[in-house]
Amino acid sequence: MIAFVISSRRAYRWAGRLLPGLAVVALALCAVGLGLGLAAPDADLPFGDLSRVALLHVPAAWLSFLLFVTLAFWAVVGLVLDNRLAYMMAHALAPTGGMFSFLALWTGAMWSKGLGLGWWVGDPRQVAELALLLLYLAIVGLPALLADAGRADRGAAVVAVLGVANVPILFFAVQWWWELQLGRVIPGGPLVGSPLLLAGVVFVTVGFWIYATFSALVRLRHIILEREFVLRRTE
Amino acid sequence: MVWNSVGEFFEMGGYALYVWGSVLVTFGFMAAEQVILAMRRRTILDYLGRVRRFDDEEVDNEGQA
Repeated sequence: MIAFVISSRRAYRWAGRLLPGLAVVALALCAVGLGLGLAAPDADLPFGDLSRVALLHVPAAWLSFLLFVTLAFWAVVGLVLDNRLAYMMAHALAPTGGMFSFLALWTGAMWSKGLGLGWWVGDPRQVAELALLLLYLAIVGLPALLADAGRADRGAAVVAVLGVANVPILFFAVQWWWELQLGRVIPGGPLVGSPLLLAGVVFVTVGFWIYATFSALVRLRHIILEREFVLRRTE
Repeated sequence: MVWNSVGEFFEMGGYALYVWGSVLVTFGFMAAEQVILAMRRRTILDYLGRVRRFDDEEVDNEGQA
């Protein structure tokens, strides 16, 4: 329990030390993944070069799930231990998670339109991903609506804890409704036919994850400064 | 697709709009996020600089009085 109670001053310094390394690794992984996935000469892609949309769609969707679960984890820590730093971490993750949620929808629209379906199909996966985006937006918007930081913290944490139920729904929606997914057409999954594209997806996913960590820590430092020097009212 | 020319690479087998539309928007948003973060840091440091200058002026005035 004591391990969670580190001072915001120390968190600020630790985050600052991690940032340059995280930036370099994230850039390198994204560059390698993008190079592999986009340029890989591959005659056997299941849906021709449209398959390369998966290079960004899969990582963006995964990050939107992962960041919400991480956000909810910090929200629970904040609620249980009444820990300000944990709440700040939850706030720091929300905008980046919302961005990846939007990008998952955007690339999903590219994908379905490319297959000859509409931009918006309205199947359970798209609706659940849209719900996830709205949950992120609610958490991002709460501090602006509630001037009192303590109330905004607890409000956002409650939204996160209730909203995390959407993540398994979304995950299984992807598993169960395969109308647009390559899996039903190509037995064994969408990317098995192309090891280079699959490797690209893995690199970009890890790259996005480290990118998200970088952005969240930059934002955490901003939040610490703002609260430490009272740019925003706290309890 | 096995690329025979740079042009073919950009055409993406006829799916250029969807593939490049995904790539550009994704990295455009990520770049924009970094710009927004840098601007926010700038704003915070400007604010702290103003507080500090204000404080220094107060001290100077007290010294003169």
